[in-house]
Amino acid sequence: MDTSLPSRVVTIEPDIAHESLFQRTVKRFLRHRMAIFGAVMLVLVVFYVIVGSFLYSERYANTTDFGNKWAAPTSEHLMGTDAVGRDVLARTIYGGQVTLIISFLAMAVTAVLGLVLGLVAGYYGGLPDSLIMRVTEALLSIPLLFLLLVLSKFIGVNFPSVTLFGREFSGSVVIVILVLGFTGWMGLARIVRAQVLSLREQEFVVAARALGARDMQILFRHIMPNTLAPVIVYTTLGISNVILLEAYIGFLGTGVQPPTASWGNMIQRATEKIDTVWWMWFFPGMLILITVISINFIGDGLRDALDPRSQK
Amino acid sequence: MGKYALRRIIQAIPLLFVISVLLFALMYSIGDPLAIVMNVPRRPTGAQLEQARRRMGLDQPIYMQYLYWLVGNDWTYIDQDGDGTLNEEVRGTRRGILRGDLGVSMITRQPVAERIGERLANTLILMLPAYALILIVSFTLGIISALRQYSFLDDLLTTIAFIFYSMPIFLISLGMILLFAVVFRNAGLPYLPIAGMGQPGQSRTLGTLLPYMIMPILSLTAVSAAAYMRYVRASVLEVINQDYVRTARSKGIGERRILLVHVLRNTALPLVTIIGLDFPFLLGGAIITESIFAWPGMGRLFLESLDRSDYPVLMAMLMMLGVFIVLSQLIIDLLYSLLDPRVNLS
Repeated sequence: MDTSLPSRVVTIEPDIAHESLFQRTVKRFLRHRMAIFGAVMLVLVVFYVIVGSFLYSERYANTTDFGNKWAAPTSEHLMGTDAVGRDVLARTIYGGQVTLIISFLAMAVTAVLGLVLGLVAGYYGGLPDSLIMRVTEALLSIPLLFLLLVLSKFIGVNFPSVTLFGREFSGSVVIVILVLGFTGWMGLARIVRAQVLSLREQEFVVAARALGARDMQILFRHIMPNTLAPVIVYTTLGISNVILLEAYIGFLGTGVQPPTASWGNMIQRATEKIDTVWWMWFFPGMLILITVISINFIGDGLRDALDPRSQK
Repeated sequence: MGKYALRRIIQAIPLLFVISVLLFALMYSIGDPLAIVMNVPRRPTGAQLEQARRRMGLDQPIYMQYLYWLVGNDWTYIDQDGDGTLNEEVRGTRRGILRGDLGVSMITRQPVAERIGERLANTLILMLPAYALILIVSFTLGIISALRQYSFLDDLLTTIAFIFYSMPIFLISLGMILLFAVVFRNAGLPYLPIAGMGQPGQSRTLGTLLPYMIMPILSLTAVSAAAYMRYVRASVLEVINQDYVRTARSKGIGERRILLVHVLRNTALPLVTIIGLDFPFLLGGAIITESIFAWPGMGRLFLESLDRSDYPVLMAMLMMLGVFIVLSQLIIDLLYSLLDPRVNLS
């Protein structure tokens, strides 16, 4: 089956010819109502996790109080307390920071890996191509959650803690970023490779080569910018996927290790008192849902805005 | 066609080889499977442990362990006491995965095939009805939504689908437990059991099993059907705007016939491909759903085995899934070309 995508060369109509691709994309994105809605919601979530950290200290979020565990929401603990008496509200704030940082950094790892491997496979062909594509196929033949769990056990939980943005994070945060980053690039590498295959033979690349441009110049100056549209869409929608996966491995206890909170690991012990303690999973769960919905809306908006075929 | 199938099968072999090497390299370093026996009451001595290690082949370098896993070790001897001489040497007994021997579980000493077999049956009990329900719901709602594009109903359905599609599955599972098990019980209504597959000691029939299946199946359906519904809606919309549909309409063919013959046939094919490719992944069970509802399926077996580094079970499970996934891709490609005359494999 032919899997190459149509080329991204846009024929710009005369009356909008003065607009750059960027301007046009922004304009189209702003006209996408749901995308704006998503962006506003995401800003609110980010606002929540940043402003909240001025109201509650991280030390407070990690303070256990065994005399007051599994406590229902009260005026003192607006979202109740968890299995060891920590304040759920404060933990959704710091957990949110960790989850958001993890998902953006993991996606950055994925984007770099997918882009570089896809470019190399598509441009050079031959042995590098078949090697990269075989590994891609092999990894895609292992169900993702299984792969994630094996990999996080492989990298191990004993990783020194790191200081980032003036805060100390459990080393497991780094592991989760790496694990999620290393397991998400396959789809992207395939998309980029298909793009490169069609771009490689286009006149502007042939011309660049005729003018004596080196491989690296052709790859990164001429080909890569033309593959960015699908990369942006893929990584945006990928972030919401990573948030869900982080939640799943956190829920299973192989993600971020307590006392550092993440939206995923906050839910881990909620199933112990499933019939009474609903606040332990409800609040982090709703925050995950809201964040994922808004990122998906933004991703859909970007896809429509960047797609030259859609005439909106 | 025959040539194409043959070529694909030949290509699948190195792919499965790459999968097995990747997995084995990962398994080799996830932990010591013998660490677990150090916690039992009658703790084995260091010498006994060393002997067990050699018997399992764990003292060998990784490529030898891989070789034993692949083709067995009954062609060689095990130096049980590790002194490098021939006395006390025992012939290996493993026959390797290529000769159908999946090995023995490090924890239960049960043959891996047996252990996976039990769990696979449980997973299928859950997954087959869920899969059927997912297909029915997503196709019905997706088609309705597309035919009434931009109506209130369409907006409602797409919004609901969007929410479920973005939802972590535990949110809906735990929400359902709260409603159907807790609130219903407190209100004196008939309520659903939370976990497991039935009372211990009770003989298992469909009637006793059904209450335990409802919530896991509904959770799986809500999340997956939402994703497929979006696909169905998009591809129906793409087809109903095609020229041949307009032509059919202008010839005076009834809407019903247009929908069934012209639209559905053309949307069903690519969709069946997408959904069919997901099918083998279901055999792996749903790790999250199974662990919330304590359903003893493949997902839970995986978690238990990973927890104790029981790598023969893990390897066998993941390889089995890999083979199913690679094979079903091949079968679907071949079927597709048979069903759709426009696809040319050569």
